[in-house]
Amino acid sequence: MDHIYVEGPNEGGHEEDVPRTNAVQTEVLMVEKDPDPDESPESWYSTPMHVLFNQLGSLCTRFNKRIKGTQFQQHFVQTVVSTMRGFSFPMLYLSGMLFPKHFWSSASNDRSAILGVMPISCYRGKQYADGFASTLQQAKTYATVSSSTTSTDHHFVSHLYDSIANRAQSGLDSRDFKRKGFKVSPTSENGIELGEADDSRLNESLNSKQAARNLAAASKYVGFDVFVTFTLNASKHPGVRHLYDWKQSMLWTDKIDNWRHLTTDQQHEVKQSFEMAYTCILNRNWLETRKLLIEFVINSARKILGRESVDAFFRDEYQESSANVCHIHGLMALCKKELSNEEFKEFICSLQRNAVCDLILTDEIEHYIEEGLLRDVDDWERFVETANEVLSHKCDNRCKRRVDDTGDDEKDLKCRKRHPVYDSIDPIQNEFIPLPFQFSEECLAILSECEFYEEPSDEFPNGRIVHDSLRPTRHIGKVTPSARENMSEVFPKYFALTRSMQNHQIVTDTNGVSRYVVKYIVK
Amino acid sequence: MLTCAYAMIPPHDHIAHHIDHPTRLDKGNRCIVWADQHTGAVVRCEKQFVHNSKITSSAMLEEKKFQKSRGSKHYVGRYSPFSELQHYLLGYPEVHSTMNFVEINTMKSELRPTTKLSLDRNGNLRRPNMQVQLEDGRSSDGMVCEVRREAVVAKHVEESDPHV
Repeated sequence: MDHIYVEGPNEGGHEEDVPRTNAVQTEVLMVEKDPDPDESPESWYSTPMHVLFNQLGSLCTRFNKRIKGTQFQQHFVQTVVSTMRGFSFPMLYLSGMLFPKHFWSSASNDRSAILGVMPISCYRGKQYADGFASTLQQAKTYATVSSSTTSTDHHFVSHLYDSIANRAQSGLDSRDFKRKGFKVSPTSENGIELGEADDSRLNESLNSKQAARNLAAASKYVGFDVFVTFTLNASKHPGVRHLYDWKQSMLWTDKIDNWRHLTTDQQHEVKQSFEMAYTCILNRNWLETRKLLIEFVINSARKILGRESVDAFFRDEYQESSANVCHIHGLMALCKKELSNEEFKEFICSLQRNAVCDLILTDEIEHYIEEGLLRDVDDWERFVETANEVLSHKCDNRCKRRVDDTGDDEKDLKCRKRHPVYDSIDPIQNEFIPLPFQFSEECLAILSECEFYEEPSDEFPNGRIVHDSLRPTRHIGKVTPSARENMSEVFPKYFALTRSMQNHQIVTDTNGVSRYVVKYIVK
Repeated sequence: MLTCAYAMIPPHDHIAHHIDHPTRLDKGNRCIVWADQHTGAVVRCEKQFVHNSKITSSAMLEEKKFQKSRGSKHYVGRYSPFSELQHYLLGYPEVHSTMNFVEINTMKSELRPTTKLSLDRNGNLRRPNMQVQLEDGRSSDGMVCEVRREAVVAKHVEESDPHV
């Protein structure tokens, strides 16, 4: 029987006798390898990595070919997962062991039972093991219950996701998951399942490859007009900015005991904890807000853009490893009723603005105020200031694409953002500039057979592609020639609404580019 | 905002997840895991930024560069942002669409696994499920194939009978 020092939330530390099994050794024994007294102690020992991966992870585990490992290997893994130098912990309640800051209390009639945690016997294939709620139900409760610290701890939420991901992988070849990843599944007991499975319906989750084919096929019947991207500016976006304001106001420090008497380091630590909790809440708010935003964009297109939205497709995307919330890519098709093709092109191009000075012209301010998109003239000044800050392009890793692999990043990487002034031929006109694309000789021969390509002649010395679909173009909108900020192309009313980074590209009659943006969305 | 990709702590299931979670979506980053060759007991992890893997040419060059590096021999995964994990965990839909996609089978009916072919005593094809056929795609070929086929047929006819 060992002793453990338990600290309650409102009381001083006290010593408790918690009956527990000391199933592990406090020192890890490993094979000795070239002890060098000058090196750190870790370098004296060596253990094959496959032991760790096979036993700890489920990397090579198949349903009917489980790698059990020798008793020694199992023992080694057990020591790794359940020991901390100088301490041992009961393994009966896994989450309680890993996150004692959340699960600090034992049951009054059974000191070894940690409250709020399911016993380790529930981590098995059965959905409702021993009558407990399923792992998914418990995870959702932990992640959303507002009265518990579990909902605001990203480490704990990641642990919950791990538990579910490991369950979802059970019985399947892990190489499939390596290739395809996970997707949300409302019908699966785990809530997630193998991505790109056989079904390809674009309801709530996305099969990347099949979705690209489906959307590309749909583009024959639904001519998409706008490629939109919405991102979140936490300080300005409706639905979440109150959270940012609350964080920045520092009024929350009133809830912290003895805040004023804490040292600078302690205050920094508390701020970090608050930032972590803020991230969890912010993400959940954004997931709700972006749903409302998408519904608003779809349903209010007539009022905002002047034409109804016929069809729309939106998809979430995440970037990098940071805690950035998702941004949204989408395609919209607008109603073309009563307008000829040229008239519609002119209409849709007129919606797009490419420079901060063009966003809201002075004679449009009143109209924006009437519509509630601006509060007053002073708000217009703030609007311009935000646009300058948010919409201006700042080159970083995200905007670059690799064009070569020489090893010199300055030559290999190229920014893919086109400058609305420098990259246009005539900045004061809406242009559809052909994209440079080299057809192979074999392809040209086939196209020639199909009469889609005319061989070089006196009139067309480089030959001529006859079919429009084979001549992709890119729209570059008209802009004030003096603009230098390389602004992201936007519809100003949407920017006035969200005050967040966004992008609206015209894809009407851009031919092959439609296929490209379809792939871009679903890739 | 915090960086919330979780840490590679050995006494945890995160390793399995990290290694098994490179998806075919926009990778954004690459996580390479290997055992330190000197100590063996230390897991090393390196993060690489992947430039625009959505653009096919950029993705190919990124892969080419990676294959040249020493990391290509190790386990490769992807750091998942915390917000993505929370999104999946809470089961929010990833896609919103006003379009309803209907699957239309374009495979030849006799090749479909649900089709059983047999002959009756007169040697005719027995098709009891003829009345309950699903909607078929008219053709699985693209427009280019169709035009090309017509052009080949026309050329063949012209060669065989120049007076036509």
